[in-house]
Amino acid sequence: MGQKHKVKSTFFFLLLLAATVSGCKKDPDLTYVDRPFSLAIPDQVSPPVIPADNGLTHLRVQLGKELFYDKALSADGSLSCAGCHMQQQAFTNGLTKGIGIHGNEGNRNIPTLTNIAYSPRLLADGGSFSLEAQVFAPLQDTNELAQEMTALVDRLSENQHYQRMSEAAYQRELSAYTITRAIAAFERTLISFNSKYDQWKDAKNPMALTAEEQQGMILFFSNRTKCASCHSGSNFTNYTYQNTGLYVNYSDPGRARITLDEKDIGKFKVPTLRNVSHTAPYMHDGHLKTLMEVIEHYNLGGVLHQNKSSLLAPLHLNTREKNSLVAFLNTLTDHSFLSDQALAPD
Amino acid sequence: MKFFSEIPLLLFFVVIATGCKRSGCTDPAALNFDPDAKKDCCCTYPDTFALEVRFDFSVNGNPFSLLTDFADSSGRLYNFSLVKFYLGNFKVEYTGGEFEIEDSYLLVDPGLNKYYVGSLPAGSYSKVTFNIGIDSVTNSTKQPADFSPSHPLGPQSPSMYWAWNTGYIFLKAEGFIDTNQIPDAVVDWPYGFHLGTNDLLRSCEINYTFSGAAGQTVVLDIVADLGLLFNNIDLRTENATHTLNNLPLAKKMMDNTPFVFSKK
Repeated sequence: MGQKHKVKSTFFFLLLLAATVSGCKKDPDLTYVDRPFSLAIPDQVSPPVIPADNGLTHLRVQLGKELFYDKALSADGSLSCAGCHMQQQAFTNGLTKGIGIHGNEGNRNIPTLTNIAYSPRLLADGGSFSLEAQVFAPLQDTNELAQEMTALVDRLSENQHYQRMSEAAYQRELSAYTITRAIAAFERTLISFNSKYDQWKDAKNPMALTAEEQQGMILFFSNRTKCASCHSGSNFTNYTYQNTGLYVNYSDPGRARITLDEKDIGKFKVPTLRNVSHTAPYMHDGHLKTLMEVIEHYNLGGVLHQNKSSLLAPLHLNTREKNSLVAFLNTLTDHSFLSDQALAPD
Repeated sequence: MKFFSEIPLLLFFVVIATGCKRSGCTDPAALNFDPDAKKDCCCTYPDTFALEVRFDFSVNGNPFSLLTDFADSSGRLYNFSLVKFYLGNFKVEYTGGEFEIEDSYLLVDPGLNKYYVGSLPAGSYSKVTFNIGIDSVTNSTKQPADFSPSHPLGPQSPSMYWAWNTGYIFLKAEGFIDTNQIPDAVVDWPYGFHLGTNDLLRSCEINYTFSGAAGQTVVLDIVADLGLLFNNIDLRTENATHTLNNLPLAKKMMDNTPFVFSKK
């Protein structure tokens, strides 16, 4: 009996010890431990400029991603940023215009977010100066998320997970400061430099492009079409504002809406062509449905407008040449980007 | 015995060591703050006083209140359901110079009549000037999320910031008017003015002699006659602008804003 009691008491002692040890073990909760985030930028491409007060870290990007996909960002909880910026469509919505809450139609075609970190100004007319400030545009627009920032902060502050993420990522409680910066941080990770064209250009795979695609490429970069005068550099845009002779009278003044300068009427930001096969329909109002319609527009040279770019003139392309240009534009698709799980909701 | 003879020496070192503890001003708010000081002494403070403004809101001389009908110069009735505006970059003039009050931005709403402007050196002043709106540098490079929620330039409800065109809304005035050609004294049509953009920044100068001694709070009494916003504006036909969609009307109202303010 005495022996049995001794065994029993030893057992309880060990149990107590085990409980004490495990109780003392500090739970590190790796969810909220931060570390720097590196963008996967190829050596031959310059990295984007990242604002000093919003350096990329894993938690900032993760918080931004969760907010980007959270429908709580809209006034009625029905729509997130991803409602109009869908990954499989290169972060566009595949429609003529944006569709906000209550089915309200927006004013313009949804721009791709491909390599948006490189864009010096945001929106088709360049009205916004940073990705952080731009967050207010879709948020406040009654045809988009229709949410006031103050109301959003109140709503999201009740979410303990967001609070912990915000404090771990920015050492600040959840606020407009951390919400806008986190979303911008996630958007800066939407990097795409792995298209067939990149594989060919980096000479890693000279067979990456077919003969037709290469013919299209030569035409694209030629003095004859002058496509690359504006669609230049590693992102196929020089980020200028151009009038491409779409209309005689523009219902949307474009850049002039910001500058109030008549010379800017009908000018819109030159878009990147990366993943352009997945960003249809095209132009600021989405009125061209296919890449062939776009090529046809430039082939004809556009209608007369006092602000039309002097680079536009009839190109007299034949069918084979037009097909080859479309074939080349299709090589700018980065399938790994469109299906990258790191950019998809968790 | 030898040990006892060393006591005075030890005592001496103790005294020296304590004496070496650096004395100086340990208050970061003082002019002569010494970060290395361990022992607090001899702080000197700036000779400043706090400046506040107290607005007397009125409409054509009548006391202001929301949703109360007022008559414009032609006798047409209108009211205010919302009025908010930014004042910024306060400067005060003294004999031989000018002092700019740092980070002096006010978001003025007739729901509150007294506002803290900032602190300024003790002395006498003869004039106060301020912007109606936000200076172009701040307006073009800052956004509400850059400021704490309690700062006037932080996020507001209703929002005082446009995002499609980076910049603050300098002035919002909304309400109802009687738009009948022959006025029937029924305010049944909404009006809305959302004014901003760098080009429409206006400033106001008020001759106001005041002085303050260190540590004081000085209050400037300013009349803000909001009826003057509509001077030369025919509310029957000119009743809506979000600035860029009707720039001439927006300019007309912003040109009126400096006349709204006067010394009480």
